[in-house]
Amino acid sequence: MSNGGADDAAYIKLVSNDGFVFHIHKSVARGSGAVRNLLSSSGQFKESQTNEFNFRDIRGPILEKVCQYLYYKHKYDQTWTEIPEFPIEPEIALELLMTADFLDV
Amino acid sequence: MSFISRKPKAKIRPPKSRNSVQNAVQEGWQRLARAIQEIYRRNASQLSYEEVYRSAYTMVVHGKGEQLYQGVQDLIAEHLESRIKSQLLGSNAAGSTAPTESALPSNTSSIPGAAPSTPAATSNILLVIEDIWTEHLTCLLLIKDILMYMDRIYCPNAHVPVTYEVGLQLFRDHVIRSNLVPVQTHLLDAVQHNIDTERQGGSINRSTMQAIIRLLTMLPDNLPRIPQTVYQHAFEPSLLQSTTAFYTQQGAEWAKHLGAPDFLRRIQEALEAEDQRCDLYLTQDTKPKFKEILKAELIAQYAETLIALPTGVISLVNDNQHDTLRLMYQLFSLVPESLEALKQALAEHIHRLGLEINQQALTATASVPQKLRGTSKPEPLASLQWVQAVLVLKQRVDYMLATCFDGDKQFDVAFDQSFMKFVSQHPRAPELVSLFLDHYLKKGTKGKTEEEIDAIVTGTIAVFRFLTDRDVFERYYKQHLARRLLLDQSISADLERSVISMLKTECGHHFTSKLEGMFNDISVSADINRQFHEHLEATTQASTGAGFRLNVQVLTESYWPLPTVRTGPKTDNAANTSGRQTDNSVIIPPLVQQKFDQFTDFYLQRHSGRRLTWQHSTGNVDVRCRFKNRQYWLNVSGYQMLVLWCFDQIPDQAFLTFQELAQETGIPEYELRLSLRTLACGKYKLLTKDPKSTDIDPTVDKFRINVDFASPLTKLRIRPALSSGGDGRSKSGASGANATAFGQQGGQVESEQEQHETKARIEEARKNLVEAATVRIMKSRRQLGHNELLAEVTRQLQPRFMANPMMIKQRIEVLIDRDFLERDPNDRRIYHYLA
Repeated sequence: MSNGGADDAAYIKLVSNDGFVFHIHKSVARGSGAVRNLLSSSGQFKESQTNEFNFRDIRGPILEKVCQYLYYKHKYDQTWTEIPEFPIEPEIALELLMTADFLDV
Repeated sequence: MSFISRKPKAKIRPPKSRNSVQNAVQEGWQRLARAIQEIYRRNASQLSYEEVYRSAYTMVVHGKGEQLYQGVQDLIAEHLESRIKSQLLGSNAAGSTAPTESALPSNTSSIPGAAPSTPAATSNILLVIEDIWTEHLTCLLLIKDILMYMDRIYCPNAHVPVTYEVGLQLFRDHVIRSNLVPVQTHLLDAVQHNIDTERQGGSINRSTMQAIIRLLTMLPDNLPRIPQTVYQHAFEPSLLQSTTAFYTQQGAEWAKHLGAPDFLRRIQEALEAEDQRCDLYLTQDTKPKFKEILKAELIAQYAETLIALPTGVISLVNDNQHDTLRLMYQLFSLVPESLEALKQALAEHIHRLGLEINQQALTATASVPQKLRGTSKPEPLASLQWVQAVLVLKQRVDYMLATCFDGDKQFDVAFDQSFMKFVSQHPRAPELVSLFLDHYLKKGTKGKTEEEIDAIVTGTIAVFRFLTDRDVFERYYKQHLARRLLLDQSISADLERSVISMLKTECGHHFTSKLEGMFNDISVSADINRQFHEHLEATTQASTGAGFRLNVQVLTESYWPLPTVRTGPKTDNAANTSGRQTDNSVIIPPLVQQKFDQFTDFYLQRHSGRRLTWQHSTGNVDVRCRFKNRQYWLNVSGYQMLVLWCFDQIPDQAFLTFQELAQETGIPEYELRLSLRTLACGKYKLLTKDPKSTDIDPTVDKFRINVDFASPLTKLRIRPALSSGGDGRSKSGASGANATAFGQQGGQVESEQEQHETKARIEEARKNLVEAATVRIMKSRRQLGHNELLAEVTRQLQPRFMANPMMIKQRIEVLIDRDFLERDPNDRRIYHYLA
């Protein structure tokens, strides 16, 4: 999930405030309401042209967790199989919660 | 512009720094405000979504949601008002902001009450509003995107509508209902003006119209409870009103100037046009409403007029204008009452057409005297014409029903009722239908293929369905069938059988059981005759000297409509040559009598316990005779044979008086008169009468053989006739006789007298049927009220005839007298069955 050119239309680049870069599938990124909103507003903002999201309030580990969660959600959404638990370390729980609210995940 | 997006980037501020929360919020709002302005300037692509989104987030998170919400509203409102000012109050050049009145047509709209009357003004205001709307909508969507967090968190908590809805409301309040310009009124005027223009055939900018109407349907109105769009609330009602007015006026005009076909076409065009209008730029919700208006204003209002117009239903039917009729049906089917009226009018018209046919047939029968001589060519009889006409009408109506009225069941029923009505109004309908069938089932119908006859027969059965007096029909049909069978005139047994089976499906088994019995008799008789001849040959009696062949039809009495029935029940009786009444009264030449005796012996040997009765009057004889030097084969009736026989016994020139003949032959006077009339006054004048006149006078007339008789044909068929005159002479030698069958006149309407007889007989038969039905019903019910009984009897007899309540009452009285029924001692209206 980390390679591939930024201009590849299937991927979107998420950047944390401490410089970590995450390339994730657009379809997966749509799991976040904020990202989805941007993607669907038809290339009107700067981000939709560059395909790059700079989150200045989000730390790398948190963003990584968010990305993991998005893939987790993408995988198990609308399936009837048993869904394994998503592990969240207690020390980042609060920050993660706030971020999730911000991103509408 | 670019500096806005760069500026916040330059001063990166960690959001966690508690001391500057207030600053962050303030800064965030400014950033947002600028962002929204940028959006309005179409510069959204310069903005960082994350940044503005985060600004909105920050504000909401720090409890400034209300400030944000209000601020955004103010910004949007402000922008919209400035647009209005520049576009509508000022010149429509975007740069000019001068609020002074300019020469542009949109200025006139700023004066309250002044409608934009010129087309330019109309389209202008529409264009301007469309323009503002498009821009507003685009921007609103973007604003909505950046304020997503607010929409998600703040709005539900504060119970306020989300950004998008607020945006729509703002547009409504600041553009459509702007307090600067009465935009709504002008818009309405413009829209209406455009529609009117198009209705009158002008062309308009439909895409603008569509955009405006779409816009209006997207805006919710601010009514407290009922959720309605601005379009529904403020526009649709007045559009409907103007539509009503327009078509009321149009309808009146069309009714004045147009004939039915054109009127109908206009209505249809109007329907289509309004339909299309709704599809193209009005809403789907409006469509049924417009349709209602058109239905009420044009169809319901003018249906009666359209039907009654000189170019209306009657002429449409008469001229077979099926397309127009179809159109009429389609249009009227939108309005049930109109359809009903159309149905009534059509049914009445069909009835009228039917009565005309009746009238024609009656006058025709009156004018054409009943002369039907030995010509084998089927004359175009009035009776046939009647049925033919009914058939043609039926076909026409059927065709009409199928092509114009989609086979509408209700129409079908109504039409059938019309048919029934006029058919039953023709006094002789049952007889004529039977005659018609007879005509086509008889041999000698030339120029018709089997399929054609089949079609005719099927059609006739359809006419039969309209008969109410089916027992009368049955009676006639039996007679006609008997004649066909006995004279061996039937065109094909299969066809006869198929007719009977069709009748059976119409009326049930009991209706045709006798007819089937008749068929049976015929085939059984054929067997018996063969056996009889074999028997004769085997015994080789002296009878061969008699030199003629006797064919006998042994018929079951109860099946056959024989002229006089004197024999007891449960017997077979045989029709044969010579003599009416039964056996004795007629004097039969010994030669023939001998043959009869042989047959009687033969038959009774095989079937003991039966009784044979000879029906001489119904037989016919082939006689070979010689006039001058030429020899003829005459086919004559039994009685005629006897008369000729008498002349054979005397010299050629000798006269016989009527009385003498009566004595010699023993033929009853009436029958003798008929026979003599045929022989002396018919087409082939075998006898000469003295004095010469057209009718027979039993007291004075004398007859002798017409020695000079000549005819180009060698085989002659002497048909018994009812009237006419002439003279005749013959020299006959009854050398060969072939006996069978009925001699009644074929294919002819009954005379007055016969008709009365038939009527009386039918009346009698009906009485029995009514009694039987009454008893049957009472037997199963034991006890029944008067009205119920009446209804039940009528229902049971319906397939055969319409029972007259008076008659049923009489029969009930009779049954009470005969102790089948009794009245309830307490309630006179209730009857009890007595076992």
